[in-house]
Amino acid sequence: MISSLIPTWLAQSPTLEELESKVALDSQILTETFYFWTVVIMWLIHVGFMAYEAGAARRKNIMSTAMKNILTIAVVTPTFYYFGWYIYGCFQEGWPKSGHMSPDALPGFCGATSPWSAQMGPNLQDHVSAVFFLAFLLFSWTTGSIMSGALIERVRLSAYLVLTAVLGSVVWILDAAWGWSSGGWLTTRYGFHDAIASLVVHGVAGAFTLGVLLNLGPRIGKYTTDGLARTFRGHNTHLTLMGLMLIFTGFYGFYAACLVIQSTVFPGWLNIYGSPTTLGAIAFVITIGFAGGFTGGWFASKGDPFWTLSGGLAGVIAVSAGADVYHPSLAYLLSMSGGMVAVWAGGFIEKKLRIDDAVGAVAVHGVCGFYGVLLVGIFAGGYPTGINNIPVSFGGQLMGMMAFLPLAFLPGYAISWILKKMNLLRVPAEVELEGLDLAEFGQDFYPEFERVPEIIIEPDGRAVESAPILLEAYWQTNGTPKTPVGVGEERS
Amino acid sequence: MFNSFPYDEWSEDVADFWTFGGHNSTGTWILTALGVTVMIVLFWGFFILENRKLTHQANLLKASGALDRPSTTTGHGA
Repeated sequence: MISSLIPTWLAQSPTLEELESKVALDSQILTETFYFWTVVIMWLIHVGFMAYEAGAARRKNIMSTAMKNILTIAVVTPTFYYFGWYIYGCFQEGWPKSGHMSPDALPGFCGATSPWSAQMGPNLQDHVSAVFFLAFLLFSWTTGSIMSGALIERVRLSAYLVLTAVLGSVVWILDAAWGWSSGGWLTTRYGFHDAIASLVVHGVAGAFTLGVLLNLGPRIGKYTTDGLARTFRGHNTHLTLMGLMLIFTGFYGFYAACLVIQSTVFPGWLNIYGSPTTLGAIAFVITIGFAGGFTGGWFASKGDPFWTLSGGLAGVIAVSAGADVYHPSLAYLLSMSGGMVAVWAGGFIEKKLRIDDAVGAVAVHGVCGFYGVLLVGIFAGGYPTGINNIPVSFGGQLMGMMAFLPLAFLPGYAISWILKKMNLLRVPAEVELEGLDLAEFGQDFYPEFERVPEIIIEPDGRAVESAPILLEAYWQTNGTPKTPVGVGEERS
Repeated sequence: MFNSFPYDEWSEDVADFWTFGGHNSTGTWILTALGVTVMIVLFWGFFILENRKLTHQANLLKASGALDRPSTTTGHGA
């Protein structure tokens, strides 16, 4: 009986080629599913940024702040689809050496990233390209959101949208092509190593933001006539802290999306350069990075809640560049230093440079992004990076920093300068005093709550009613406020 | 009704133009150009619409006199 079934089973059993084909398909779908869920988790970064910034805004600017985060998605998505992804695919060698067959490290990738290519739409033969694009798109949104918080309460929404499109769809993705890809010239020539994007996302967004802030100028009343910094009280610190916690949750998706997996092609997890690592290793570093960052932020700020949580973010950014290779103890110590660096840099930028960065983005993302890449040159020197196995070096890391600082800062400064000259960068002073929500949306977004006088913290720590101070600052400058040290210069 | 409609022929034409049925086809090029054009126009629209709102509100506030310096004010704060 059984022997009579054997020929039937043999006839039905798949051939080796068929099995290989099925395994390859399963592997592709596993990759597709993996990146899909990283994208879902990374949405939390943007939920978090919205809550974080809206909480840091005064009551009169809540919705105008949140709307920036929402419309970041509306403008960066199409711009990244139409030209951002193409920049990543084609400009890894600086300029595509062999047209759409570039780069040498990944032949044909350039042609696959154009918006009309077969890989960019429904394609039953390709399960990976679309979700890979989406993961990068979410990184692009993140660069815009990093800048967003620094500019709140005085930037025009439309100006911000242009700036964020340039940052999210040109600047950061060009630096990613150069230094965050297997075929990037910084990778293949200098072994530049920034595994989880300390510099290519955070540092670059921070440097671009700094350029914008120099033209945007401080909020009315931020500085006394002597140049001392006042502190605006956000309307809901709890919302800000909740937002930061959501960003942290989303960061696990961000970290995971920075790795590459396809079981039938690669032996295991790879970083973006094609070097081996594990998902567990980077998850370990991010987790202990938060622990170290919170601790460093707490001590450096003497227990300030905003800077304690921002310290956690700074700590993780400081160890992201080497998260694929760091020992957890090393990550703990370095992230603690990152949390402290952010606090000190934030104070320096606000009080010495007199630049009004409303959420400390330049310190947390910009300074710690550059710091993280520098640390890799010190603590992971010699580690082979990428498909060429070029060793990581201090000089190679410096090369990346020197390339990316002007690449990020100059466009931010130049575009915001043009917008300022066209009187399109900043809202009118009268609207800034009254609050942007009434002008933009015609309503107060807490209508059931009684309005109480807005409070501002004087440089000596006194909490006083802000209205007389803001009006005085407005009158003194005839509606064109500037800081006494010239930072921000005359407003548009 | 469905039997009388030339669905197969019609759907192939539509798929070739409006979807990725024929990537790198004239249809996908036209769709891309349309999308880019709309995107650029909308950027201009963001500026126009917002500028109108801000200018209107700023003019209202100036006209109301609410932000004018009182003649007897000696100043506050810094």
